[in-house]
Parts: sequence; C-alpha cells; structure tokens
Amino acid sequence: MLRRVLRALADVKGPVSLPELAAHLGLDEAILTAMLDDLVRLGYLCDALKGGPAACVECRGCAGCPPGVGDRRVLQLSAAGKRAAG
Amino acid sequence: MSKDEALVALVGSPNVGKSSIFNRLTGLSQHVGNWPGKTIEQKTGVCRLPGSTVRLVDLPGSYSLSANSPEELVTRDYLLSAAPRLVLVVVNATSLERTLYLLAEVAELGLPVAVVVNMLDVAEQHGQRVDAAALGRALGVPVVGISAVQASAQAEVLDMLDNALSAYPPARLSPPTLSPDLEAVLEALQPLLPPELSASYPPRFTAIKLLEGDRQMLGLARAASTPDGWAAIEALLEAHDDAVLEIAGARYAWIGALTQQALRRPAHGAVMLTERLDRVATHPVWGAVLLIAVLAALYGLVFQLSAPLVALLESVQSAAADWLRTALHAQPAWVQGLLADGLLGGVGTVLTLLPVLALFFAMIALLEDVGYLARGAYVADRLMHRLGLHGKSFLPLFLGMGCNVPAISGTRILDTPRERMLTAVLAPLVPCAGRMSVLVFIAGALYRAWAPLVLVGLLAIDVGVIVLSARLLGRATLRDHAPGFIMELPLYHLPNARTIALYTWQQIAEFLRRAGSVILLVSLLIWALSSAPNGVLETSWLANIGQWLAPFGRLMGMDWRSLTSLLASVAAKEQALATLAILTGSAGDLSDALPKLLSPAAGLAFLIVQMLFIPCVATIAALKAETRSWRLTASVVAYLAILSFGLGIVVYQVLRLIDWGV
Repeated sequence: MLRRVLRALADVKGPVSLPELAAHLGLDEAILTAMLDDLVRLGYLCDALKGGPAACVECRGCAGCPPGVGDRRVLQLSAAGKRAAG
Repeated sequence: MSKDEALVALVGSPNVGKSSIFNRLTGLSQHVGNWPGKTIEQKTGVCRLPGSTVRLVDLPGSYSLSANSPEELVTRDYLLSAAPRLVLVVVNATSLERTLYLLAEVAELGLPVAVVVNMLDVAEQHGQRVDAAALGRALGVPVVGISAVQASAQAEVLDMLDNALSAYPPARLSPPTLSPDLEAVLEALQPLLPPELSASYPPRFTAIKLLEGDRQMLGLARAASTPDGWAAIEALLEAHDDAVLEIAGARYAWIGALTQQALRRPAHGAVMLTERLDRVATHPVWGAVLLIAVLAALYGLVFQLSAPLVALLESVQSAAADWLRTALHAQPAWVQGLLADGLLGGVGTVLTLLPVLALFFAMIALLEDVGYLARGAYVADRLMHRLGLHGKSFLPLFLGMGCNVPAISGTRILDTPRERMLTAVLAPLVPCAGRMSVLVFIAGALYRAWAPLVLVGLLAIDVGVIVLSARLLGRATLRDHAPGFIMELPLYHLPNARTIALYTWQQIAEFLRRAGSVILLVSLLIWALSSAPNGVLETSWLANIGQWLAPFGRLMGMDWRSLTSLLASVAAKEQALATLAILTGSAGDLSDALPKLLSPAAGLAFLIVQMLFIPCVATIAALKAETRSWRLTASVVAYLAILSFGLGIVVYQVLRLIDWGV
C-alpha cells in the first residue's frame, strides 16, 4: 500500500494535493496523511521546504515569508523513494 | 504481585488520554518510580473488580513497537518480558487511523487484548463518530468507547476489564495479513536467528523488526550471531531492504478495513467548507480565474483604500516642509535644502507609502491566514508546470510578492542547479511590495480613476513576461524530469487579527528600517549631487551626468530626472519616489508634480520599466549568494535592464505611433 503511494507520486507530474492523491488511490485522507508521515520518517519522502523559505538557513532578517508558510510541507520522493517506486 | 492479581498493561500512543484513564482506574493506589536504568517514569496501580484485583502498569506513550525512542523500547520490552494477562490498548477517536497503528503491532505479539476508544466527545466536536461496538465486532476483542473526562468512564472501563479478564479463552487479535512473498521471507529468516535472541523475543516478531530495519534488533542479532550466521541474515535483509513498505502497508490496510466499519465522518464544519471551496479554488480552470481575480482585487483594493491616506500624508508632508522652511529661514540655503528637500522630500515622500504597504501586507497575511494563499500557489504551480517551468518554482516566486530576497533564498527547494538558476532569474520579475507601492503611487498620480485598471494591466504584463522568460530561458530543459510533489493545503478558517497585525508590523518595521538607512543615505547623496556646486538643479553635477542619459530617456518620453530616479531605485525600490520628489522639488506635492513630469504614455513606459527593472542591491546580493557566480548575477542584471528598457521603449513608441497620451 505504501509502495502504491510512492508509485502514484512518481507518476504525477507537478503538484498534487492531498485530497487529489487520496481520491486517486481510493484512500481515506486521514490514513494517507498517516502513511505520508511514516514515509517521511522512513526516509522515502522528504520535505522540499526544509532548508527553503520555510526555514531559511541564512535568514537575512527580511521577514519576507508570510505567516504560516513554515507550517506546511511540500513532500517529494527522496532517492530511496524513487528507487522503491521503481 | 500476589497470585490473585491480574497484570494488565496499559498502552497507547502519546496524547490518547492514557494517563487520565490510569488515574481514574487506580485513584490513590498508585506507585510512581522509574523504569530500571531509565529516566522514564514508571507508574503502577491497583484497581478492584467484582471478581479479581488488577495490577495496572501504565507503559510510556508509544506510536509503535519499533525502537525509535526509549519509550517505545520500554513498552516493547515490557510487553515481551512481563507476559501480562491483558494488554489494554487506548486509542484516540480523533486520530483513530494514527493510533490504531500501535494496536496493529500489538496484534502481532499475539497477547490478549482489549481496547478503549477515548475522546469520543472531542471526536464528535470534530464531526467524527466512532462506533465502538462495530470496532469490537471487526476486531473480535472487547472494545469500549468513552470520554475519560466523564465520570461514567471509570465504570465502563472496569466493566469491560472484568469481562475481558474472565473470558476464556482470552480474546486475541488477528494481525495484519502479509503477502505470501513476505511470509516466505519471514519463514526463511526465522531459522537464521541466533538461539539467544529467539529465547528472548518471539522469532516472527524479531524477523519482522529486522526487516523493518529496527536498529536495536539489528544490533542484538549481530551481537548474538556467528559471522556466517550474520552474513546470511544480512544477505536476506539486503535482498528485501524495502520490506518495511510492505509491512507498514499491510498494517495500514488492516487499519483502513477497521475504520471503514467503525468510523463515520458526516461532512460538516471546516472540512466540508474546505471541500466545497476547493472545488473552485483548486480547479485547473476556475482556480486560475479565481487567482487572477484575487490578485486583481488585491491591487485594486490596495489602491482604492490607500489613496485617501496617501493624500493625507502628502498634505502633512507638504505642511511640514513649509513649516521647516519658515523655521529655517535664517539658516544658510544649503541647510534649508538639505532638511526640507533632501530629508523631508526624500524620506518623507517614501513614508507616504506607509498606507499602501500596510494594506498590501495585511491583505497578503489575510489571504495566507484564511488558507487561500497556499491554494493560489498550488494553482499557479500547476499552471507553471504546464507552461514548462518546474511546478515548484512558483513557491519561491509567490514569496517574492513580499520581498524578492526570500524568493531567491527559496529557490533552494528546487532539485537541480539549473532549475534553481532559472527560478532565481525569474524571482526579481515578481513585483515586491516596495516596487508595487511605487507603482500604486505613480499610477494613482497619473491616471487617477483609471489607476486600478492600469495596475491590473501591469500585473498581466508582468505575468506574461515571467511566463515568456521561463519559456525562453528554460526551454527544453525542465518539463521531462519535473517530479511530482504533494502540497499540503490548510483548512480554511477565520483569520486571526493578531497574526495579521504581527506580520504587517514586522514588514512595516523592516520598511521603516530601510527608510531610515539606505533610503535616507541615498536621498541625501542625490540631493547633494543635485545641489552641488551652486545650488541650481539645471547646472548641478547630477544634471550634467543626467544629460548623457537624456537621448536614451527620450526614446521612452522621459527626461533625465525620471531616468535618474529609475537608476536610484537600485538602492531600494521606494527610492524612485524619493528621487523624483527631490529632483522635482516637490516635497508633499509629488502627486501633483508627476503629471507635469510624465505624459500618460511616458508614465506607462516608466511604470513598465520600474516593474521589470534591475532589482534592489539586497536582492542582487542574495542572487550572488545563491548562484555563487558574479557572471550569472551580472547576466541577470543585464537581462532585466535590457528587458525593462526594451519593453518601455516599445510601449512608448507604439503609443506615440497611435498618438495616445504623448
């Protein structure tokens, strides 16, 4: 089931929302969210925003990020995820 | 523990209300200490049932039985070594899917189990209904649903405990079903396990944990195995290094089947609202239409609401300049000029932008806080992807609406250096708040009632330029390997005034800091250059330099003062206005002076150049830091200069040809 999530993400081009992916996989959103958390913990997915604007490594004090930007994630396949997705 | 006491282990994920249940069941008969060799609290207590006495052990909160944390290790070791008569698993009705995961793992241990579904009341408030009886039927073990804060909870759990302990044979769970291939791997792995390990842990459980990559279990297996034995285990594990996906996937399938029978989510509240609104807001076509409408409304509203306030501040500035000149009439002319024209004309004019900026930032914060901005980025991302640009590019580009510096830093989220470069080149094309405030001011002064339309038109041109630049610069490079990604979208909710005010204040404070440093210094420098050597603008050093630019400016209908202000905006975008105020000697009257300086056609050319021009020095420095290339940074600066002036010339010349506003 987790591999299906990885494969679906490998097949998608560009952004996909959680409801869209859940509908595509025929899964409940809450279960998909829990699965995504696990895939992140296991290293198959990574958060693209880490090190990006949500967590500027070298913050220049410009306070340019709107509120809430750091609260959400943009998940993508890691190297292990790409390999597992085949 | 006496022979008559039944040992019951209380387990559950963190925040399921396990401690509340433990306290209700045991009351004052508790013993608190530490687990041997750990700093983790150990709580045991006694509760009395009609037919027996129960010694309840409250195990640390654990998401799973993997050794991811000391708490999970304590829980796992205790369940495997103490052989409790019953494992009482607490799950949270508000996050059933997540908290059932631990139950799936407990099922694999084969111990007698009973389940408490806690927080039914909170789940109801969130629009979720858990049918404990249906869950019990699906699981085949005793299940009770409670709200631990209610007084009846204690009796309900005690009643269930009594029934569960007196049942014979005790109820056990059917574990998640693994695929035949995985079962074959487990069968192959178990005989390879060293006998010492098999004596302490159930072989099947050990084999599953090894396939999951459990570090503690791997360490134990390696330490207890012979070199050949470990080599055989390692080879099998390496051949199935992604088995964790199948194992966890089987657990989620098990959970999915359970929740399908026991969980109901009547759609209402924030979730329903979000679903309904997202049918439009994230729709491929209507979402894009809505985004354009929102951005147009944003610019239009900022203009309409800020215009009276800007006019008010201008009149205050004008009065202050008059007062200053009167107060300083006995001082040398250069002192009057420095303070009234250089300081008040420069920095004062920039400060009249405060309402524009405050409204803009407040609206951006409002859009973000209600949950729309993420949708806007999502829709724009998808659009960008279809246009051939990496979808994720629009995330940093969206940030550029506030300030281009974080937009350029944000390119780090992109996967390849080429994508990062391309997006960094495009980021300065997004009009930042400083640039936008200048556009709003000048459009308002030149086009009055038509200003909102002009601003929306400028925005459309800007989007067109970004798309065309992306196509031109990123041609045939990005579409093929742009990977998919999941964007988390927040639920829509009512905005929080404090969050919006805080963000707006942070931005305004940053603007004031800039006005008091870079803009002040550059304003004084421009005033000095425009006054020296004899206090007459037309014969000043700056005018002499400016005359060289005059022929070029005429291509866009501008004189040297307009061109100089554009060049000065490289220090900070708002500097363009400060410079115009100084060079036209119109402290507090810039709105009236601008129509005399720029014809409608020249004004459009000026606005287009200002919108697409070389970014401020802070952005250029960020660009250099991200690209680590002076050559590329210089190329971007050159590209933007050619692009902005080129488009400005084309627009002015076309308008001149059709004889409009020249």
